[in-house]
Parts: sequence; C-alpha cells; structure tokens
Amino acid sequence: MTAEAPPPTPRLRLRGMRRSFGAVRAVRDVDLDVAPGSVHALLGENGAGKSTLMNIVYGIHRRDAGSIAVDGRDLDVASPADAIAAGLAMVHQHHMLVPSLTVAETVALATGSRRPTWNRRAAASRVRELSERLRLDIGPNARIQDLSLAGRQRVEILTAVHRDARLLILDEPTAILAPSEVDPFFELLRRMAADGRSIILITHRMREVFAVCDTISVMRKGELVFTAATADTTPAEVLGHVVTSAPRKAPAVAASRAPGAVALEVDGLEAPGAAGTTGLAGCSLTVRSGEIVGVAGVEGNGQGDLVAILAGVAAPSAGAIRLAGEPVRGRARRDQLTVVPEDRHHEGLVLELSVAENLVLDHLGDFTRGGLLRRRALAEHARRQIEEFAIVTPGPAAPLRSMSGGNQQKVVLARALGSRPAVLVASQATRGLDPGAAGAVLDKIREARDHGTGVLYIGSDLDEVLDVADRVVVLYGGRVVGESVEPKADRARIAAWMVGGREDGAA
Amino acid sequence: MGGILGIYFWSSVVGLAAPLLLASLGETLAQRSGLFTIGIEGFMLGGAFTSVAVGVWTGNAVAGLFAGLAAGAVLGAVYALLVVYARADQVVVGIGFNLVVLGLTSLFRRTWFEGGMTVPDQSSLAAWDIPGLSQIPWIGGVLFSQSPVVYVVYLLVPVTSWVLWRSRWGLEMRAAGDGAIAASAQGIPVLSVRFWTMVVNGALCGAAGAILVLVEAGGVFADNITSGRGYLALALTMFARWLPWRVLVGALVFGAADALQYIGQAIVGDAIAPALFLMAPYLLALVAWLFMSNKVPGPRDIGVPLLR
Amino acid sequence: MSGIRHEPPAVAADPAAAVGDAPVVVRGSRVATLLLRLLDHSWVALVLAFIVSMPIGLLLITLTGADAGEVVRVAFNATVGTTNGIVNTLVYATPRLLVALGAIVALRSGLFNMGGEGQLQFGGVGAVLGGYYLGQYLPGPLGLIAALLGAALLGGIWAGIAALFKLWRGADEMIVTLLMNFIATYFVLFLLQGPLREVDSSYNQSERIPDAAHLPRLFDTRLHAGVILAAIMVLAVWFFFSRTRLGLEMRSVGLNQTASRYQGLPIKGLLIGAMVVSGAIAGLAGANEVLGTQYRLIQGFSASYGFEGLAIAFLAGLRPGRAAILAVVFGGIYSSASSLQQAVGVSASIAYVVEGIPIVLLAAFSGVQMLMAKRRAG
Repeated sequence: MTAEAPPPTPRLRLRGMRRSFGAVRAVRDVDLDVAPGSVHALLGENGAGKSTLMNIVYGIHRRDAGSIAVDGRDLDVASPADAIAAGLAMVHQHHMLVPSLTVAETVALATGSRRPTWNRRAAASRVRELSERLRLDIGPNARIQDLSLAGRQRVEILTAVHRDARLLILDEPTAILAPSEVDPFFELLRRMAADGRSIILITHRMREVFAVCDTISVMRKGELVFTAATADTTPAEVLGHVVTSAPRKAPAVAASRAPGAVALEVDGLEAPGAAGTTGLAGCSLTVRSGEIVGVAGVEGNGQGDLVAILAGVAAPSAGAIRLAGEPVRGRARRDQLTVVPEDRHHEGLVLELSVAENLVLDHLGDFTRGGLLRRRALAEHARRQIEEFAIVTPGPAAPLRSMSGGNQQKVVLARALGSRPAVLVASQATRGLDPGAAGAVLDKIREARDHGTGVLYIGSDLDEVLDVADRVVVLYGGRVVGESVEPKADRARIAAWMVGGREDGAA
Repeated sequence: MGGILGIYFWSSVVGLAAPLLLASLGETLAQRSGLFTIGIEGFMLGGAFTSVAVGVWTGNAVAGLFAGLAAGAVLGAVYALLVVYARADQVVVGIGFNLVVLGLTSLFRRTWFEGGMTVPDQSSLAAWDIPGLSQIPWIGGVLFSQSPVVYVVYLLVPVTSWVLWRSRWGLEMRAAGDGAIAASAQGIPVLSVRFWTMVVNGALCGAAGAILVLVEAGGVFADNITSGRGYLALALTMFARWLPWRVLVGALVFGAADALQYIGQAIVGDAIAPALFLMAPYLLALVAWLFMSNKVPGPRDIGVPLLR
Repeated sequence: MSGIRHEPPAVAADPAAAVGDAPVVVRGSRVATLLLRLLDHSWVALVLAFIVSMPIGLLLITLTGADAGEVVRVAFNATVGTTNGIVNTLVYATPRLLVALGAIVALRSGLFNMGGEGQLQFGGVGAVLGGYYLGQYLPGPLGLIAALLGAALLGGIWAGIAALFKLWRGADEMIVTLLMNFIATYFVLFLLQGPLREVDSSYNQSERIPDAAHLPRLFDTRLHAGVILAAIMVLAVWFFFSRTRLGLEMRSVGLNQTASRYQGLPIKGLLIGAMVVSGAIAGLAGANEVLGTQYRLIQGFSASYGFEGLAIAFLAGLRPGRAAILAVVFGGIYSSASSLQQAVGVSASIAYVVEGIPIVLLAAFSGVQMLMAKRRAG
C-alpha cells in the first residue's frame, strides 16, 4: 500500500475495475492511482491482467464494473476515441499503425480534426519539430511499413506527444528493443515525465522497473496486490508479490552427459528475408546430440528465416544443412528433425481439427490404409500422447480451439517429440504461456535433451534463453556473430553481440 | 466509318468505357476503405432498372439518370448496413444480394413493363459537341463529342484521386482499409467511414448502370442486362491497383474490347464468330488479372470486418 | 547515442501468404476456418430465414395483382401437392445440388471457386462430345458413361486451369473463376453457333444425343437417374471428407494452409486436386441437364445454376447432407415460381428473391454473432 501522504489529484484513478471473459476473471476489483508527472510500473507475469486492465482504460475492452477518473473528472470510455479525447494514449506491443501511410499522414490522422482537407506541409513540419524536441530521429516521409519495430514505436510516441497526451500507457515497450537501446528509451520517458505527463509502463521485467519508475504496482491473477514507491521497496520484496505458487523447481540441472556427435550443421545459409528483415547472410552453427543450443538475438535478425528453412517451408538461396553428416534439401524426415514453430496458431496447429488429427498431421501415412484413415489407431495414438505429455483435454476428438494455450503448445511439442527426432528446433516455445505451462514445456525440452536430442532453442527473452541453454550463439544481421559456452556468465558480452557492438556493450 | 483508326471507333471506345470507369472509381474508394463489393453487380443492375423505369414514367432521361443514382445510393446503404454494421461476410452476402436484386428487377419489369422497357426520348443525354474543342481534327471527334454525362465521368478521375490523397476522408478511408484496427485505436470512426464510402460507391455504380442502359444501350432494359459488368469493374479496380488513373487506362482498354463488337463484323466479316467478341472483355480482364494482380500489395484489410 | 544505427529491422511479413507468395486480396490462409464459423447456422436459424423470405415472396406476388390463396395453392401443387410437383422439384434440385457439392469441395479446401457456372457449361460440352460424337460408336450404356466422363473431364479441366493460374501467377481464384464463367458461357455459344451446331438447324443447339446415352427415366416420369447420381455424390463427398486421408489433408489445407505447409502436406497437389474434383462435379451438373432433360446442348441451358449452387453451399454451411436438403428446397421454390409464372403471370425470377433473402439474413446474423463472440472474449 502507498506509504506516503496521498498525492495531489491523481492523473488517473481507477476504482473497482472488473472484467471477465466468459468464466475467466481477468481483472478483479482493481484500484489504482497514478500521479501526474510520474512513471508508474504495472508489473506482473504473463496473464496477470495488466494489458487487459489498460485496454479497458483505453476503451478497447468494455469494463464490467468500476470507475475511471482522469484529473479528477469521471470518464466513460466506450472507444479509443473517447480515451484519446480525454488525453490518453496507448502504445501497444503489436503496433497500432497503418502500414501504408507515411509518418506525416499518421500524425495528420491522429489530429482528429474534422476539416475536409489535411495540410501536408504542416504535418511534415510538426513531425520534424517533435522529432527534434524528443530526439526521436524520425522523418515525415518515411512509410510505416518500411520502419523497424523500434522506429514504429517511436512514431506512436511521437503521435501521442503530438496530441499532447497527459497519460501514456506503454505495453511492454522494451520487448522490441536491443539491450543497449533500453537506456536511451528510459531517458525519453523521464523527459516526458518531466513535462508533466504520466506514464504507465506495463512490463514483466523487474530490472527495468527499478531503473526508471517512480512507483510500482504489482498485478497477480487479475488483482492488484501491491503498490509502493520505488524508493521504498526492493526487488526482492516486489518479486515476492509477483510470484504466486511455489517457487519454480531448482534451476535447471545441466546436462548429465557431455554432448555427443554433431547432429545438425547449418553451413553458410543465405536467404533474402522478407521486406524489412535482415534475412540470412551466411549463417552457420552446429548442434550436437544431447545439448541445448540457445539462439539469442533481437527479433528480425534472421530467426524466422532460419526456422522456415529448417522446417522445409522455405529454400535458402545459398548454403547447406546437414543432419548427421548427410546433406538435406527441403523437408527433413520426422526422425531427423522436427520443429516447434513460432506461431502455434498460424504455423503449428489447425485449430478446427481435433487433438488426434493434429498429432498425426505430419505423418498421416502411418495411419492410413488404402486411402482410408485408421481411426481407432489414431485415437489410440492420441491417448498415449495425451498421457505422456499431460495434456489437459476432454479426449482425442476434442477440437483444439477449446484448449488453453499451454495445452495447445503441448500438442505441438508432443507431435514434434513423438518421433524421437535427432534434432528439435524450438522457436519461441514459451511465448504467451503462463509460468506453469512455460515450465512444463521447458521441462519436456530438457528431458528430450537428456535422451539425446539436440535442441536448437530460439527465444527473444534473453534471460530465458540463458537459463535453458547449454551453449548460446548470437544471431545478428543474419549471421552468428558470437558464441558462448558459459552463457550465464557471459550475459554482458551476449547482450553486446545482439546489437553488433563491442564486448563492453558500447553501441 | 474509317475502320479501326476511325473517329467512330475511338469515340465509341471513350463512350463505352464510361460506365465501367464510373463503377470502378466507386469500387476503388470502397476497396481502399476495406470493403470488397461483390454486390456491385446488384448496384449496377438496380440502377439500370430504376433509371429506365423512371425514364419511361416521366419521359425524361435525365430524371432517370438521377433516379438510377439514387437507387444505387439506397442499395449501397443497405449493403453497407449488412457488411459494415452486421459484419456479414462480404462474399456470401454479395451473392445473396445480387440474387435478390436480379429477382426483384426481373419481377418488376415483367409486372409493370409487360410490353417492354424503353425510354422514349434520350435526347437530353445525346452527344454534345464542346464548342471549339470538338473541332480539333480527330481528337475533337473522339474526345469532345460525347454525351455530357460522359464528360462528368471522366472528370471524376482527378476528383477521385484528389479525394484519396488530399482529403481527410481519403486519409481515413486508406487507414480504414489498410489498418482498420489501428485506425480504430487512433479514434477514427472506421464503421462510419466505410458506411458512407459504400453509399457513395452504390450511387456511382447505380449511375454507371443507368449510363449503361440510357446512353449505350439505347434506353432499353432487359432482364439481367448488366450480365457480369459489375464483376469486370471489380477486376478492373484490383488490377489497376486502386489507382484512379490506372483505372482510366484499364476502362479504355475494356471500352475498346466492347467497341470491337460493333465494328468487328465490319472489319473481319465472318472470320471471327460474334460470340468471341462478346467474350473479349472478360478474356482481357482475365489476362490482365493474371499479369497485374500481384504487383503492388493492396489495402491489407479488404474484406475483413471490424470486430470490435 | 553513437551515430551508428543498430536497429533491428522490422519483423518478417505475415507468414500466412498464399501459395506462390503473392498477396491474396481477400483472404488469408484460413478460408475454410472463416467460412465454417460464419456459415455454421443452426437448423432453427435456417428455417427461420426461409420463414421470413417466403412471406416476402408471397407479398411481392400479391402486389402484382395475384390472389394470395391461389398463389399458395399453385405453390403447394408445384412442390409436394402433386406427383408432378414432387418430380419437378427433384428435377430442379438435382443440378443445383451438384453445383453446390462441387463448391463445397473447393470451399472446404480453402478455394473460393465461384466458377460453377462455367464448369457446368463445359460439362455440358463434355457430355455432348462423349454422348454423341463418341457415343454413336459405343454400344448401349457405354455411351452414357462416356458422356458422364466427358462432362467430368472438361469441367475438371476448366476448374483446373483456374487452379494453375493461382499457383503460377498467384491470381486469386475468386476473380479468375468469376471471369471464367462468362468466358465459358460465350465460348459454348460460339461452339453452338459453329463447330457443334446441329446440322440444318436454325437454333443454337447441338445434335441430339442418341437414346442409349440418356440418363434413364425413373417411374415413367420426368424424373431421371440424375437424381440418383446426385445422391451418390452427396454420400461420396461426405465420405471423402470424413474418412479418407486426402479428405483430411484437404480440410487441413482449407482450415489453415500455413500450418499444413509446416506439416509437410503437399499443398499444390491438394489445391489442384480440389479444384479439379470441384469442377468435375459441377461438370456433372451440366451433364445432368444435357443427358436428363434436354438431350442436347442448348444455348442458355443453365438458368444461373452456378450462383444458386454456391448459395446452397453457403446456406448448408459446407455440409453435403444439408446441401441436399436445401437443394430440394430451392428446387421447390423454382418449381413454384415456374408454375406461378404460367398461372398468374408473375416472373419466375421471384424465385431468386426468395432464395437470396435467407442468405443475406443468415450472413448478417452470423456476422452479428461473430461480433458478439469477439466482444465477449475480448
């Protein structure tokens, strides 16, 4: 609870906020005060309700109950337009910008004027003016679709300042920043706070909270459980409120055996990459059986192309892949290499099909006779997998759509590991999963490693990658630029490689 | 007549291209705002029918033209309610909508115009030579001796371009079509923008249908007279990549294909069957579609209802 | 900040691009997913939709001066009231059902095949080629088989061309098949005015198909074996999708093409196969008309079966069994309209109104449902 005297009229006051999605109570009776001119952290694990709460404030979701007051005035927010009119702005994780517009057009659109025409020159000069004042380095004629993720984020902030937003809500803004870009970003936040604006920073990264925020509020399973000024508390105390259940099992035990023979060789892969990404520019790495190789790197440096090529859905323009010494073109056999793709809904699963059908989609031949499906064998197989991977589902015929994210990911994993592959490629395997499910997935991956599978683990959360991997390589600009066999000890070096910088972390 | 280089041929091209151009300009706006209008066929047919009906009742072709425009606007509003507000699937609803319009227009024609539907006097829409300009050799006859309606249609090309790139409405349209969720999160009234854009589209397509029957087809309405022109306009919009000036070029090409029907016999006699001339515009559209359809990516949210 | 930019470039483009990496204008990779969710109406909703549209049709007819009671009487007799009515209903239902089944095969595989009309036109041509030009040399029922095969072949090829365009140029199949409808219709007209024209006739029609190649009549009525063919196809389509490996693969591709690609399914082959089968079934609809009713190919023999079949497929939620029932309903509507045209002089096109309204209503209803569900789930 707040330890100091109550602040002057809060920029934002929430009382009794409630919101449920079906049976799930995403936000329960939340009270929150945000002071003017402060940076206020909203901290919590994945699924704690932070984004939902702020989406309600911004008018994207409707609230079931509760009141919102901005600068003392009650607010009824039915849509983002209302929130914007009240001086709020929100920068989402998945940027809410129109790709084909230029920065100037985006700003002009944000003005909200109803005049029939818009003035190109005025918009452009406004962009230049704001960009200079906030040191954002954005030109008015750049198209949103050509900007990097960090660039797009800066455009959103610029738009918010253009509208003179008094309260900015930032949802996981550092997720797309390289470690060395984070400090300049925080300086920007402090400058805006000094202007009198309030900033709510939604995050799950403790370290950053203590670096830039004045106040911390912790959410856990939909409830606001703790609020304190940063100066009055410690990371340990805050962590105690963030984490719920019994602390995670003891840190992962290192592989019990030394890694074996080379199972996967990626040799000089080149790929053009989609517009705006680096593609691959001579990427080489190896994975031995019985080891987990972590791939660290900021999103967009070739990870997607690497996974697509390994999965056999894209072809490299140069380079080769060898599995146990043999070159492989296109799709590898199931016993050689399987993939847990980055986006389980679009790439991993067909949600409208059943659990049983999804589990065998890549080897239907084993369950077919004379063109007809052997349905009993299919169901049997599914039941076995469900048990082995502890998948929570009514049965093999249940549609995947009704299952939780964690269980869906278990299906993907069960299918990938079911063939006891020599190599497993796991891309963002724990994305969007609550800590319990994420832990289960990582445990299974480690178990596979202990049974001899070589794992290529690609993730965007550096700390998670460092925790899981036996060895870490860093992908930057489409190439492997560094490797560490003592990942946890080398965090600083790895962070520096991630932006192509020198060892001491200078950009 | 002068054959394929003659004034008559090219003047026909300019005239025949007008309805398709008009409908396509309307659809360009609609697709820019994210709406894919299978119902365009229904707008044109409804406009065609209404224009001839009113033209026959009042004896005034111009009144018919405006009636066609109004009918199109009404149909556009209905369609917009369905796809924008009720979030009905745009393809499914379009098929049903076109069926209903086809049924209604045929029904009304047979009920009220048993003996046939012909506007008695279309002189008010007759070609009007622009003084001075129409004296220019060749070009004068081709470009400046058209029905006044045709002039208006061609003037709409720069107007549409201006609307798209310079007006606030155009900016909101493009935002609604390329990033509806983002635009909505920025406070743009996406639903309202799409609704009014569809109403305008309906009006333009209704007018296009009216021009088709009043100016081109001699003021006669027959069941299903549009027979696929709406889909041609749809295709044209897309392979012109939603750019009004390219739509103009495409429309002229189709106009040429149409005009060939009339002078084709004169040029090649019996060597090429008439049915093949009828096929020509659609074949042309197909070829254009094959080679132009994946150049510039279009508005990302075409056909996607805003679920919020 | 140093002058060197170390920005990570933007994330890769949407992985759900269509085959051939060309931007698909209207849909992403989950066409069937979208459609099935949209079209999954309960029986109640379907019945209600027709309960709304039929009185509207009745109202429109009475506005033209007809007596409501007579309208109902005529409609009743034209559908279930008399043997003739039942026969006509089934005869009209058959081609529509076949086109609908073809559309269902394509739609479930994620392909917006709007080309049923063109595919059935070519099916008609195939039936004539097989039944007359080949059939005159073949004994007995082999002529019929040749005709049916010819129809399926040409319909399948015409649809297959559209599939090849999609794979080769990334051209969205919706527009392609729409345009190909008109190309097909005019091409058939060209054939009937020229190469296939009946010798010494002043009509645009083909030679008469020899009796042995006709679809045999049933029960001494107008009802012919086409109905049995259609019923078999209903079972075949159902069985294909629920019990066979290819069927599961096609469903998977329709529901999520990207994920299917990641699982190694042969996307290109499956898409082409789906289109070809779809066109073949639609081609059989053309054969049904040529071999069962007209006994020759006539200009304009299809009364927009293409779009009606598509409408049935949508209303049926892409389910073969429901499509059969709805096709019979549509057949009844058309039979009534046709009789009413003779009895009270109203245009038979009233049928389109009564058929179109349920689609519009249900599409709107589903849209609203989707919206409500999305709002509830946040």
